[in-house]
Amino acid sequence: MSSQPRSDDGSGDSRRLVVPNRLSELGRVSEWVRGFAHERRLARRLAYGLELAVSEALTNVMSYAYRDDARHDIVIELNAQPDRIRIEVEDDGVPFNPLELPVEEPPVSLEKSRPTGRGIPLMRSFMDELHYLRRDNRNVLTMVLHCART
Amino acid sequence: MEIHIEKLDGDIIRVRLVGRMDYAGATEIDARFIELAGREKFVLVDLSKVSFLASMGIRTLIMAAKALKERAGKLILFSPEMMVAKVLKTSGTDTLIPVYYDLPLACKALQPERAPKS
Repeated sequence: MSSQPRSDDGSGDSRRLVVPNRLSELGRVSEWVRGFAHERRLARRLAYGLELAVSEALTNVMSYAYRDDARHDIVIELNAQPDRIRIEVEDDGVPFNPLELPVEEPPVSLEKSRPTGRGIPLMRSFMDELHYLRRDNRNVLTMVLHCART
Repeated sequence: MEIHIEKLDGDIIRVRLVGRMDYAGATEIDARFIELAGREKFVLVDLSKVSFLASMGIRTLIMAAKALKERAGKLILFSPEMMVAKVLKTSGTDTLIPVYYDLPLACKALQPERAPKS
């Protein structure tokens, strides 16, 4: 896992992290996201949303994006601007646009419910914008969190 | 994450979770939950000390609730803090597993025929 500050294009400040596709890495990623939120003194509501969205996006990629057992690197970039935080998650897994998944009706009973499949609805709910792009044979998911000016 | 189990009145088991219910946290408690859901009947999961809940944690709760229901038991959630409650609501979990903030009411929901001692 490597982490480095990046001076983006002058708009806000960015941090970039590269992690292997192992679910056991999620704890360290969350710690890194919490550090980012703490440094910027984000309100708990925003910090929680940020951490949750990154965690759910990575859980999906690590669980479903790869057809082999090889190591693949996933790139996460956080960019903070005064009024928004942009998260970009990039992977070289099979093409998958999570935004094309139909919005499911909530299950009516415990018996009919599935224990999984809640990550994307949570990302949709806690983020203000979600965008997907297939770029250079890689999936790029961009999530934007609007921060109210105080 | 920490898991503390205590017996309440009747056959109710209170499971107090402390920590983060993310992938690592859920993995740590999955086996205990499977065991509890196969042995106990009425389970109150106290979420008041859970600071973070992600979909992997929801998976643990739903699997246990389903297993208990199959055995004519019941699982309810108790006192989640604000952001954890939002995750439960957003994911539709709170329509599948009831959430309570009042202990006597929670116990009554688990065992309606037996009023809890005050």
